[in-house]
Amino acid sequence: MDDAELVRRCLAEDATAWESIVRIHTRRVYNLCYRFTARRDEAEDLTQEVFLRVYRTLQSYDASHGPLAVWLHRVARNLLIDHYRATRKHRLAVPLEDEMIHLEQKESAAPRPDRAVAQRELSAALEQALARLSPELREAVILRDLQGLDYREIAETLDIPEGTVKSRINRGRAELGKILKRHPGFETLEGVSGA
Amino acid sequence: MSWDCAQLERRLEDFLEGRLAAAELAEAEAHARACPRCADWSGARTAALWLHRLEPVETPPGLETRILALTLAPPPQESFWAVFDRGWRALMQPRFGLGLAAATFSLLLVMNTFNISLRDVTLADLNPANIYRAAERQSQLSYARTVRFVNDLRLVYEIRSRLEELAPQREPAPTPAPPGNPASPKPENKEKTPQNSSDGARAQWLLALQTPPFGIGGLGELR
Repeated sequence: MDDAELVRRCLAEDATAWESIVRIHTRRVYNLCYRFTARRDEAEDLTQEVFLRVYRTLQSYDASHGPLAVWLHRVARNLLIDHYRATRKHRLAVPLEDEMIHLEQKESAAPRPDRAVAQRELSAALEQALARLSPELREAVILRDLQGLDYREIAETLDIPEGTVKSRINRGRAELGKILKRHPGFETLEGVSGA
Repeated sequence: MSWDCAQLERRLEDFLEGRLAAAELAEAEAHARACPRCADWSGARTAALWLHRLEPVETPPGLETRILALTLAPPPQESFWAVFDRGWRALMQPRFGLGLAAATFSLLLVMNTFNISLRDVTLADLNPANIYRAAERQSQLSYARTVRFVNDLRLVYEIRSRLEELAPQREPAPTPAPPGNPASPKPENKEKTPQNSSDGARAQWLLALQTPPFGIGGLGELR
């Protein structure tokens, strides 16, 4: 069943159609929120808020403007940006350097972590570093590298030209590389390929 | 031979997303590690590779159910008294109370100015057609009064200016003083001047009596 049909049935108060939409997209929206906030409780609240907003504004969905997933991403993205602005003061209160030092100390204190633990820790560091990017760079990187959207879809979601999308993604990746450079094990591509 | 900066920039997306062939990748890597300008791209590529391998997180158990409950549940029905109580509490806030008092005072002031008494108001007066008719009549009356007042004012000033033009012509020529008594006063002249001015004032007063002032004669005729 295509998106337009699902939405039409939802608007006709067919609960099963709405249930299908929720079941198809929850994981993706939750991941987007989690990667953006790096906090499970916030991501859960934001996911609920995204679906509540989508449910209330379902009649404004136009299938000719793109698939439902893109529209959902757009709603989630607006909500995440609002959330980022609302919590920016709190985030800035904890400097990135402190968190990185904390991570390094945690790693050096460990006796000799095995490969799986090292990768888990690097993944955690990656999530933290991602949360420290500016929202413009972060959303572009998340949509491309974690959500797997192509450049055109990202351009539609963010309502910016494809050239800008590419530039933001590359800048975001470079920023991440700079942040994570000090982390042991980051530069070893063997670790990446073995993950 | 490794790539140069221009080559790397041209194929940057392919380099960062792992779409280069092994030989090309080695050349690009060699350049990125050696070139200070392109050094960041090496870290960017590693970051992208890590990101691609980052496992998606599992959704918390029950999240979908909670979303469905949140969206599909009917909105809670409030009783009439609960709604009334909420509205009453909102109205009883000091700022709304003061606003209400100010609005009531302004309304009473306007009603007093226009001589509107609530006792005289009948049900028929609340008919929109009657309200419109009364408002139109009131505006016509106000316009007519204004026109009459301006016309009266113009007439008064015209007559007054004529009288002022005439006043010096009626004044008699001063009598020459007798040569033997230069210091003696002239009683005729002293009495004549106030007499002349009182003539002018009387004429104006008579004119004013003949011309009905605003709000008496004009209104009487209009009503």
